[in-house]
Amino acid sequence: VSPPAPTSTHSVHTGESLTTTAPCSPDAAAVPPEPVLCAERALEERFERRLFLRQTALVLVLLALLLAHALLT
Amino acid sequence: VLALDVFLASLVFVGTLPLIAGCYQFGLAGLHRFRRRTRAAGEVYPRVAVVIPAWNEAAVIERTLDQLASLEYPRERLRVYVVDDASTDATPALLRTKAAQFPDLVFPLRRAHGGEGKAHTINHGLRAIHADGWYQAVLVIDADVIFTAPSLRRMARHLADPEVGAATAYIKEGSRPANWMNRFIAYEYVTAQAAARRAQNVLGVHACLAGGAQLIRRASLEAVGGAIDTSTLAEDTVTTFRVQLAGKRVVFEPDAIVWAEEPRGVDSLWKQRLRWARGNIQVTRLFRHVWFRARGSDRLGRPDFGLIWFSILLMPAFLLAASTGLIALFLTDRAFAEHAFRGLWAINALTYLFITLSSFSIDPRTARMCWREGLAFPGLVSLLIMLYAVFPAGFVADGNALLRGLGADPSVGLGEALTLFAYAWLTVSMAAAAAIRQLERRRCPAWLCGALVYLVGYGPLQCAVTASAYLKELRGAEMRWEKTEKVGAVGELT
Repeated sequence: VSPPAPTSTHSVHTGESLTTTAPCSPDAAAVPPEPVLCAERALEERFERRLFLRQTALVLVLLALLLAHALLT
Repeated sequence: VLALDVFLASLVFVGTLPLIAGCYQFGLAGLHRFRRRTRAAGEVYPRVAVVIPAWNEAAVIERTLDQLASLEYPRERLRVYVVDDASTDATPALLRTKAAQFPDLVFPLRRAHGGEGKAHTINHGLRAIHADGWYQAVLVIDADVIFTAPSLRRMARHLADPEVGAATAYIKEGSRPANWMNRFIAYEYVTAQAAARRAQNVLGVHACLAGGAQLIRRASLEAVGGAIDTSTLAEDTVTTFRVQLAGKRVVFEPDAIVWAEEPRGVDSLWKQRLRWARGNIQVTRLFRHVWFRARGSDRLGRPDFGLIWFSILLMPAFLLAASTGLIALFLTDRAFAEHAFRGLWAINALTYLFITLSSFSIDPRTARMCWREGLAFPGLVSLLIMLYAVFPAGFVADGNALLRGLGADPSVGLGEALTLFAYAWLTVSMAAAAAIRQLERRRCPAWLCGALVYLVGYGPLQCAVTASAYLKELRGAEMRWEKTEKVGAVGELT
């Protein structure tokens, strides 16, 4: 099966000129609008922030347990 | 005598290297927020050519294509090339149907003579897309991998950064209903992907773009020759290394979730992981000039990355060294042997707590499904030994009472036998795991094999596979692409 001919003559050989699709353009029909994308990125950030806090707390608790065990035995 | 004791103790503590590497990775994973690169990146939608190698994929290919058709991605920027590797089932007919249903999206390609393996099949697709010249990035996926709607969009945004050459997704086990093996694998993927690959993002160097979901910038693919490696069983790892050696970064996107169907039994897992382990041994040899030789921007030579890589690759040897050291110490200096044993297993217990609780925190949804398998990952026998190492007094008293209750005399011989068993367990567990596989091949009931894996541990099973991979490589055994059978078990997932 032959794929359709290239739709653009724009040089993309370096791969650096990646197109940003404006949220209102017809191209972006499948893509959520910008406010949704912003909210999504905020959620991702919040998860990573909480992960950092949870990991820090876990390390501190384990160190405390280790210290307590060393003192009690 | 002192020199001998020190030598044997150092053998024992070689067994802690994988534990130290594990803790280091999970510690780094917590720092991921400081190295996350998508904050500044806008959404970008490069023209993506998806290449799917397919050999007898009738059970799964329709759903995979339907899911690709419903991605949150501009349709005119996506083309899917399914390379049929001379399938003998209904795959070609299904591909014709899908091409008719999605004429601007699905492009079936067929190899007249198949059977050369996945890498050759992918290269057939890559030649086609090179000839076409349309694409800006290529996404190589497996025929059974189900992309969630936002996954490609989230991977692609990393390509806004010109330093990034490739991105990979978080592959999760999606079989529903999930059996005990699926749940072990689901937990394993939390540790090996969600945690370890976050850590590798922080380090700025990656061991492997997941073969089932690798998005590669066109310039990076061309920089590594425009094709993927066919000389090893780990073509995805070779691509990952070459992209990085060519000066680009590889990133893991934890929020790009894709679902895959994984093995449901010990034997099928063994075959899959044997292929991966042999591939990793081949990669280690292929890139022997890279290890522990950090130069300029080449991060593959970082000592900590080398420690992580070899702590997994050499784990069977480390465990064997620890057991050998303990037993030799038992024969020469029992009091010192006891101290070394308890030290080793106390570190093991601490690492287990840190890694298990971290994993639950990194992917709470998966943890709700497979927390039992997370707890039982090292095996119930190992958990008992950890308990003994941390609370020896209470454990010995309770153990003696239990033995007396069973009519045995804990003071005679039995104590020594149990001690030797515990000292040798790190090695014995690998042999026991290999035996479970043999039991399954001899039609032992699935529930019994499952119970034995909980007892012996999923971790030792992985180590046994790695040990087997070394033996196969030493023997120069034939490299066969033993494809994992897929039946379309991925459930309705959100």
